[in-house]
Amino acid sequence: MDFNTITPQSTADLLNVIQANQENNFRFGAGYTDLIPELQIQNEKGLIVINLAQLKDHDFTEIKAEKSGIRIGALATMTDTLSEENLRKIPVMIEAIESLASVQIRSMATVGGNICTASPAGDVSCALVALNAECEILNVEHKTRTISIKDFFTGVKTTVLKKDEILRSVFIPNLECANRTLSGFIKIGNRNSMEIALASLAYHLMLDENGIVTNAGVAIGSVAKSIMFTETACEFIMGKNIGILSEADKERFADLVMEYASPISDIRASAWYRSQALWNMCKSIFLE
Amino acid sequence: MLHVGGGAKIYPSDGCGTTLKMDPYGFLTILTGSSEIGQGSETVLAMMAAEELGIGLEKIKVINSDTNIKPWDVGVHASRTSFVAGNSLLGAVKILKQKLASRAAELLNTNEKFLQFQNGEIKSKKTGDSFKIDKVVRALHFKPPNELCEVSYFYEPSSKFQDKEYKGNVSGCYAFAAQAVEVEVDTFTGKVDVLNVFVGQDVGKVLNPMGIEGQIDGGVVMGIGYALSEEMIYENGYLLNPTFHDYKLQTARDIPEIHFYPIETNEESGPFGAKGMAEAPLVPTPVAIANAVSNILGVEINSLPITPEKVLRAIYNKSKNETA
Ligand SMILES: Cc1cc2nc3c(=O)[nH]c(=O)nc-3n(C[C@H](O)[C@H](O)[C@H](O)COP(=O)(O)OP(=O)(O)OC[C@H]3O[C@@H](n4cnc5c(N)ncnc54)[C@H](O)[C@@H]3O)c2cc1C
Repeated sequence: MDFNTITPQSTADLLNVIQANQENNFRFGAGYTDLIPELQIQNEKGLIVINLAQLKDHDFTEIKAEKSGIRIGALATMTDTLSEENLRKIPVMIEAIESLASVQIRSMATVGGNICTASPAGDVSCALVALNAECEILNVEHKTRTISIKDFFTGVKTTVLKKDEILRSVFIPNLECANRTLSGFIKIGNRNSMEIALASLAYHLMLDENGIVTNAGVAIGSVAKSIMFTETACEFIMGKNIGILSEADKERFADLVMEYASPISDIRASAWYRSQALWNMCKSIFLE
Repeated sequence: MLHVGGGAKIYPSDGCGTTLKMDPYGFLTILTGSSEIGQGSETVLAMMAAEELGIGLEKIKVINSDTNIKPWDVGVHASRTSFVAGNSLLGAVKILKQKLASRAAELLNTNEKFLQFQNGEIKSKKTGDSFKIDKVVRALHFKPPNELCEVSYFYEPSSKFQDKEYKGNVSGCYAFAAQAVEVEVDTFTGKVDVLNVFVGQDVGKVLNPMGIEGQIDGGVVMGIGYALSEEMIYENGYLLNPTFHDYKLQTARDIPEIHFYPIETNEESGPFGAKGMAEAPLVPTPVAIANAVSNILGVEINSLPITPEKVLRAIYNKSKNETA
């Protein structure tokens, strides 16, 4: 592993550095918990790492409550995010973070890194997909564009980010409109921490005072090339009263979720197991 | 279950050598054949020597693991170190004490049998007179007989090398253990969580309560890994999970409450009555866990580790058979 680093301190510096390196092979480094293991395996020659760890820009580092939601800077760590009071209202987010690796890794790992690494097993990314989050992308011209996280991933380890762009923040919308929520993150694995999900289920259902679903977000991880938002399952559950769902409705919901899954078999688990366990979990969320 | 408690003679010798040196300031160096791999043998050997010689732990240094200088030993296995290296140490201490006592008896003008080793002194029970232990060492070295206070001893347990059928009295003594576990099975995912482990184990005499608890906890944790997640997966002779990324050890979050009930017996052949005890806590664990899981499910899973996949498959097959 051999690379040079450049450490911009301000956003102006950062954008200049990105601009100046358009012809070079460069990567961003935030918490390095994905980048270093990756570079250990594939030794890229002449690599430059643009180190984001010392960037002093609140838009990149802070977690802010805005009028209709919460904005999380790409460089906020998992630990920062866990201690954010406003996020306590979003169990899917908290549970996803708490399921990620270990305390030590969480204190280094950033939310932006989890998204940009674009792993189908990204736990926090999976929660953010269920929450319909929006990615705020900055380019070298200092212009921003916003794209739904559902459209951010293009495959295993690939995203829509262009070479002259960087992820600045992610925005979780619509948090105020729920009366109650049915929200959580289920990670299926062989042990209780330091585990890559065999399959995962992130769900965030907003309910009115009668238990009718007014807004639904359900995403699955580790069972397809990228994290999948299960649109038809969400549409199916909208308007239903979760207190009186029939067994057939629960199964229909689970079946619809599974239409987005195409799991593989590997040494950790078979495709059969991933499907069966995930289907069971889909039904189980209504037990709460 | 039954386990070896006094080493295991899987090699023609299961012995351990010890060399002791006491310097003119009363500091003791223990050169032991046994190795320290984190199990706490340095502490327990120093405790034994301190007890016998009546000197403080701070006066004792344990040197081990360097095969250029250390005496013979077969290694850290068979729960043998406290028992075998402990007996070896006590054998060496006995010779060292004789040497010191014979010089002290001259200095104190008394018979060796009236001497006591305590508080860093060698004291006559009869007259109450005493000499500091380091002074006796100096009297040995700097005056006739001009001898160093150094001794060596080799201990070989009474056990026998196994015969061709792997039978025989393979250990210096034997220990007994039982475990009960409480588990929870998630019937949606097949994941087994162990909630409580109760360990009842014959350990001879407890020498170091904290040390023994550490060994029990460590053994049980290995046993849980053995039961639930640890496995080397091969395909055509290739190991498919050669790193700790895919070879799954248990993590802190997987570990239940471990309740340890030492059953103290007095092992006559053991140092201060102790027996080897460190492997026994990992052997019953997977068996108890497998029994608990089959108790819940009504089906047995007969291969380890009991992964969520195997459990879910068992649940699935059972319900298929029941509806068929
Ligand atoms: C032992 C261990 C256990 C783990 N367990 C889990 C787990 O349980 N669940 C899980 O989801 N992940 C897990 N991970 C993966 C990793 O910790 C997370 O994905 C983490 O969030 C990555 O963040 P980072 O800041 O370390 O990213 P980095 O390693 O710094 O970067 C990751 C990638 O994102 C790019 N990048 C970073 N920031 C930006 C940005 N602002 N804009 C554009 N690109 C950017 C980098 O160039 C790189 O390609 C684990 C990692 C390790 C080492």
